[in-house]
Amino acid sequence: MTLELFRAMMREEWRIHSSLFGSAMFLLFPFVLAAFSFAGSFFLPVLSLIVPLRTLALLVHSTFFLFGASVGSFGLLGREVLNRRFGHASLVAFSSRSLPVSEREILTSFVVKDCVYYLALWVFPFVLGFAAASLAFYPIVLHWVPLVLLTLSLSFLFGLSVVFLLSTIYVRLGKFAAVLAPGVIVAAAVALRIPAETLLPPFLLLLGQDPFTFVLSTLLILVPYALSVAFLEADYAARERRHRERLAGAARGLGFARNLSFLVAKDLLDLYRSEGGFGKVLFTLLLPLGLTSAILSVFLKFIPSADFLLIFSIFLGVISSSIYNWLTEFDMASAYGSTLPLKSSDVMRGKVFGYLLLSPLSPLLLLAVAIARGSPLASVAAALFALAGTCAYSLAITALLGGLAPNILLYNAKNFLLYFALIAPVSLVAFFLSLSSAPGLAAFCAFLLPVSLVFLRKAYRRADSSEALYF
Amino acid sequence: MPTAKSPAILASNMMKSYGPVEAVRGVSFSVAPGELFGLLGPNGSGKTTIVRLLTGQIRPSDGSSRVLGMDPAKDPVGVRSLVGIIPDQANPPSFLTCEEYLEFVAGIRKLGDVSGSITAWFDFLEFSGDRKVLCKDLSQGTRQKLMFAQAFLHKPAVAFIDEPLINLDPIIQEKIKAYMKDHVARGGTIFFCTHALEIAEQLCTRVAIIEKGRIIREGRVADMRKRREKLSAFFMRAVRGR
Repeated sequence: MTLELFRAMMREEWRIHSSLFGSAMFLLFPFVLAAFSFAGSFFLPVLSLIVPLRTLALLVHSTFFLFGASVGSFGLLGREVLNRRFGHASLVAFSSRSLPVSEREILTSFVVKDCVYYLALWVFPFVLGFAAASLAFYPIVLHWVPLVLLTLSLSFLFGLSVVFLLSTIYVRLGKFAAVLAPGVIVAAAVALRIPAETLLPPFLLLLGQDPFTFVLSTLLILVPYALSVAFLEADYAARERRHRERLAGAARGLGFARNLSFLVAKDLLDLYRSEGGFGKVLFTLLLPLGLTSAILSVFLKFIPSADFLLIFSIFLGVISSSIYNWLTEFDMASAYGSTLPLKSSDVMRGKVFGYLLLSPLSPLLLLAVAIARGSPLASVAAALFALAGTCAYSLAITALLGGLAPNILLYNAKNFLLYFALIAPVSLVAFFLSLSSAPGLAAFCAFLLPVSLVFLRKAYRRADSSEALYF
Repeated sequence: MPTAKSPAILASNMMKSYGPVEAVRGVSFSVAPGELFGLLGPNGSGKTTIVRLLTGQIRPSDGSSRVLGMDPAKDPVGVRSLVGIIPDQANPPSFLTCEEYLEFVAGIRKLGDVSGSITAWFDFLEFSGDRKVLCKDLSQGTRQKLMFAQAFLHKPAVAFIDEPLINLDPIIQEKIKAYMKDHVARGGTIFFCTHALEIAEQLCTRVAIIEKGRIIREGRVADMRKRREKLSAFFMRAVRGR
């Protein structure tokens, strides 16, 4: 790996982020993360009374593993995403044809760059917040800081490495093999009743601190990476996908959406035809809900009066805005504005309409949980109200702050803090009402509906007044 | 709507700044109906910004413009409903097929049933084989053909075209040139940005040279021919003073 290549990739990564989010706002993001980690660590002794420390640690390590996986995915799919955002992207990582360096050398630089850049952006600030809180309030746990830094870094790198290997399997053996490989591992773990945490050796290293687990964790990073490099196939033929005509029929079927019918039909086709189809929408709802349910189950043992379904409905409402995020993932408003007689707000209205069409997923999930738990009818009715209110509110706030690119705006520190400031108090009020009065919660969430409408209208106005579509 | 004598496009002291950067600095010109007007200039001279201003994608910092009698800053959707645009970076939606994209454009523009017209465009630009292919899997040249078809699907009175012939093979280039000439011969107007001076010389009735956000020279191509002056010489003299 040449140092020049590594430097160029680091510079490029910084410039992509700073041009998307603004230099100052992006630079602030690690500090915001450190502040959140500091606050979380401060409350750790209280939290550990409710949720076992081991569960919390597993949750944090799993999150960093998933984050590593998502960074790896973006690295591999980044060109498509950036082409949509910038028109034509030309990354150093895709320039093996024009630079006198081998593809293996480029991949190595790319991996090292991802490791250094994202460890600095995510892992170090998170551990820094933890270290600061330990130093200020709990010096007794200060010796854990280097270990947490090591195990979180390994969790992140493990996620990154696994995705690189899966992508190599995908290119060499096809989609089926790429899905089958992790599927077989998970199925075997379930069949053999291997605890989930065993699949995450860096977490075991935190618990056991033995050299064997350290070597195993390191090997699980190095071996997949070495296999990826050994079987690298950078210049494979892109598959040309053909589809029969569906848009006009879908738009006719959506005639009730009036002038938005073609926009909504297009958004739904985008979701359906992109990798993972509609399944990815369900997955992004189920994954955080699964984690939330697991934590809630433990948490509610300590508050016998709490109604699981009501609290679950609040979480589900907040998380359901991920449906809107998916709908905005495949295009840019500028792509419409540069050729068609559409306003940004028209495009946004189309996506909100698409969200409404897909939103029955959330009440269906809620009803499934209610049936599984045998919840009383009154509780189900209040939970449905709570779900409707929180869904509408989280959608409106996401649209207001994230516009037509909510996934991108996560890294903007100002937006991230504003999102938190607008969502957290409402969620907390709903949470406390769920503990004291189900009708009170239903009334509060009914009140959120007109509030959401006001925010949504503001989001439309804001979208039309912005020229920030052209980065 | 403009009268027969009023210009199809009119820019009056149009300015656009991005913070301290002045992308367009007091540009004025007019384009009559039936003209094929070429805006020529070095990279970064402000050509694309002018197209974005005239089609209401961005608002001017100062000055004004009219397209078919409408102000793009006040009624961008109204302007874009009447004109056709091929932007500098052609990016049709990734997960629609070529055919669906043209249907999408027709649906947004409320053109009714245009299946015959869509087939005619596929035949004319010789890419019927790509009809069912997703836009994300298209070559640059095919994307360019698709963007050309979408811009003229509604037979616009005015078309804004940013580098229309890049990536196209010579046969399709000739077809598109012929189409553009025919379009203006029938009273349509084309506003055309390019670096390709030879193509501009073949097609344009009038050209303006822009440098650092200012129009530094304007001229009729017919007058240049009379003077036996090549457009490239006219351009170099304007930009480099040679």
